[in-house]
Amino acid sequence: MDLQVGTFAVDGVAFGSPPGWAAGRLVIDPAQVRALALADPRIRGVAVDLVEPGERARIIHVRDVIEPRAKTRGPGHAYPGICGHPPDTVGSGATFRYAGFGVLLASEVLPHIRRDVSAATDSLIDMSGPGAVTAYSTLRYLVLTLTTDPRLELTEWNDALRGAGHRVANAVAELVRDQDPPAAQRFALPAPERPLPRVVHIHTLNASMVPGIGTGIYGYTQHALPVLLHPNEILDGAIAGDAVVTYPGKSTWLHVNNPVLPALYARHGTDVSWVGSIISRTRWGSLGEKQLSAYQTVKLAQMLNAQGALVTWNHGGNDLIEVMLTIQGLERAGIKTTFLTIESDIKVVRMTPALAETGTEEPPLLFSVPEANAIVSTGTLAPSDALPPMARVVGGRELVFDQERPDVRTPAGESLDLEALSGAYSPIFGHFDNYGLGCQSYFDY
Amino acid sequence: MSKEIERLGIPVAVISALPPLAMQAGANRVVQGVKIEHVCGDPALSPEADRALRRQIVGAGLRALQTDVQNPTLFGGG
Amino acid sequence: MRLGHYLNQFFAGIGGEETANVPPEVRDGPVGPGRLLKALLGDEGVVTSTLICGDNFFNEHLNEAQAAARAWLQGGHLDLVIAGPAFSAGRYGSACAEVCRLANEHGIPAVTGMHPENPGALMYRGAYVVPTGGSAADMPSALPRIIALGRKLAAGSPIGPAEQEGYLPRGVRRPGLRDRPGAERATAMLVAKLGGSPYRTELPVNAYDSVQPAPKVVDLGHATIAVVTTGAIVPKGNPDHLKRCSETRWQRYELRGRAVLSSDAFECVHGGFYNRMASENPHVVLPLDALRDLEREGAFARLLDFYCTTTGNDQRLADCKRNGAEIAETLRGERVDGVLLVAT
Repeated sequence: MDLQVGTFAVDGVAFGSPPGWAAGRLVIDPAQVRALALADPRIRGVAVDLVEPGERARIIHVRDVIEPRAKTRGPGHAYPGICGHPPDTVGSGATFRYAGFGVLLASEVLPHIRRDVSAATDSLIDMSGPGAVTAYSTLRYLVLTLTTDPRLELTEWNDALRGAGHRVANAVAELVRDQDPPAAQRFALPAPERPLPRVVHIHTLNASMVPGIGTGIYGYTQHALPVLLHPNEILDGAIAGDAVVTYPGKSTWLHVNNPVLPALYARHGTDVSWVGSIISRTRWGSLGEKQLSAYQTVKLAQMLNAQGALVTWNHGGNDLIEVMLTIQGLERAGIKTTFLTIESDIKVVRMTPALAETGTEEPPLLFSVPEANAIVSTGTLAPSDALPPMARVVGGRELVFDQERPDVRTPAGESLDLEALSGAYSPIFGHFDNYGLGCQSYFDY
Repeated sequence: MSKEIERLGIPVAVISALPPLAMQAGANRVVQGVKIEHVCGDPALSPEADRALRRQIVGAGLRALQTDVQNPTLFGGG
Repeated sequence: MRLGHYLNQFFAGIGGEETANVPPEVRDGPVGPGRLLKALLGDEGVVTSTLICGDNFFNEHLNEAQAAARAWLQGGHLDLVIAGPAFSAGRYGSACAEVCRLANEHGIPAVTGMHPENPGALMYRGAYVVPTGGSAADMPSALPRIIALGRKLAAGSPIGPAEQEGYLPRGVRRPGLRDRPGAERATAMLVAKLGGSPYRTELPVNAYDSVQPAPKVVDLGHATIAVVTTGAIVPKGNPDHLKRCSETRWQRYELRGRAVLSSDAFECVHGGFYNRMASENPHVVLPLDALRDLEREGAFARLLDFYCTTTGNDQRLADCKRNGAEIAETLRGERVDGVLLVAT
């Protein structure tokens, strides 16, 4: 698997015609975008907006962020297996992408879906001010605010939103198909010239307990036994999110921009021999299933002759059990592990010293095993102050902070004291830095 | 939560689908439940079998309450 | 800077184990290793006085030892207290930790030193404990590090993270920035671990505190049993708006006169798992039917006529503890003999 990734950095986005990218400026034709979104009759309305970092803007009802990518050479389609894209194995040939830009899907969750799927919460991204704490505040967006047929059931709603997002993302990616990327990088895992420790990336991935939605591998969302992927498959979008559950900060953008991939690539051939990425689903319902998934993951690592493993996860108290069982199994099999993780997240909605301090009262991890002795903590991301009023709100008008009280609606443009409004969870999109994009952490005092 | 009740001297039998979690958190008497979604039963069984299973699990809990323990101990359930 | 030093019988030069019962005494100026402290302090300060106590005495006559320590602390006008270091001596380490705690109670900063596995290191969470080797051979290395930290404490300077300032973690974690993004740190840590190079975990995993098991129910046949669940079983319509996630409170609902929980009257609002099955048959989370059968058969005397529930999904530990304490008080008030807690 040999993949050339060509990157078109985006320093500015504007509406205009004809659309295209030149010298860092991306021009989008809003009429074309609207037509693409409305191509599905389940989409009843669309507003198209451009939002930049640094603006006094708040984007709400974020359902997903998609980085436009297109395969220009080699088999398959970027983001394979979803939205009608074929399931052919990706990861070789050439792929073009934009850097610093995403298509953002915004849509207020339908009332019956809010009731049935409590995790389908309202989220927000502040593009400036104390709430601009995540990587999402640094991207440029083409925001599609979508209204759907209100009667759609869950999987249809998800498909309609995602379909619109990927139609638009595809079209934007296609704009540069015939151009030369200003930056290009080759991704491959050739056998190292001298013996190096073999490491495997254990990319544990939450699967939805609600059938038909959730993050998918080539579109496969159900719980399944672990599968081996080449990291290039992930770079080509083989792991993609849904438009339903955005808490705690899952997005399609994050998977193709997973910083663990370039970090391991940078070491391949010099310090380690990277043998692949094992994707293990988490949030199994029974202990027996959790154990099976963990044991099979360990066995795959052993069959790859791995000597080391970098383990990540993407949140959930329940999920942490199989993640820790996996770490325990790896260590007991003689495979040295490091664990990259957020830290006891739910307590910190505001990062004031009193609220941010933690310790024996709130253990940093809900569950652990003694073998987890090499942990990197990405702590938590939270604003230290109340969020200020924002002149511009995109994606909707009001926010619901209590899923049990959907009738209590807060105007999104006003000052928001998240600690008072949200209780023990934060609505800031992406505030769990699961894969270590940033330098924040926690220290013992 | 069970530890707070035990602190007052009232024994607690925790029925959990994930005993390692309960035991690591310090629950002293733990009964193995079925699955997170249906800890005390199994909707896939016939109503009679499901109720019998539930009785077995609850019975194990009552047995646990009548047993002296020194540290977190697992009692078989269904 | 006026420094007070705490020593046991051995380091005070009184004797070994056979003198571990000596009662507390105060001597002016430095004693034993206190002289090295004085040399390290130079013009910065003096070791004003030394409190000495036998390790056995301290542990067996705690009230008297504490009284002596308090008198010493109150009378001494001390700016800083240094206890030990105790190295691997367990009783000495415990005494040092207690002296530090008492000093802090009197508003006097205190530092001690001991081997990380000395049980005294766990005695008082707030103590500043400098890690040392296992024996007094480490004294020349330990004392300068103890003084360095002590100086900062006495000056009221902000104290940095444990790993930077050289003390054992005190059970408090605070956010901060590291030098590289997490993904790079994780890869670097793995490479170090594989190569046998030293690395430091950013998150030490500790055991939860355990609770002494409550005594068993002796006579179940005459016992009152209560049922509690974190599975969010509520009357249909969720009249009290119990949250599906991040709930801070708990609720109680009547069981009087009920033999079953029907899906018409009850539902499950837990957001952390696929709760449809529990809404269709609430008994799988709150096993009322089985409990009534067993109650009727005399397995136990009576089921409490209400149950307690909350949503055990993304709940803060502090809320869990508070809910637990409140439920515990309620159940004790109802003279409950044993509890079945269905966890989710």
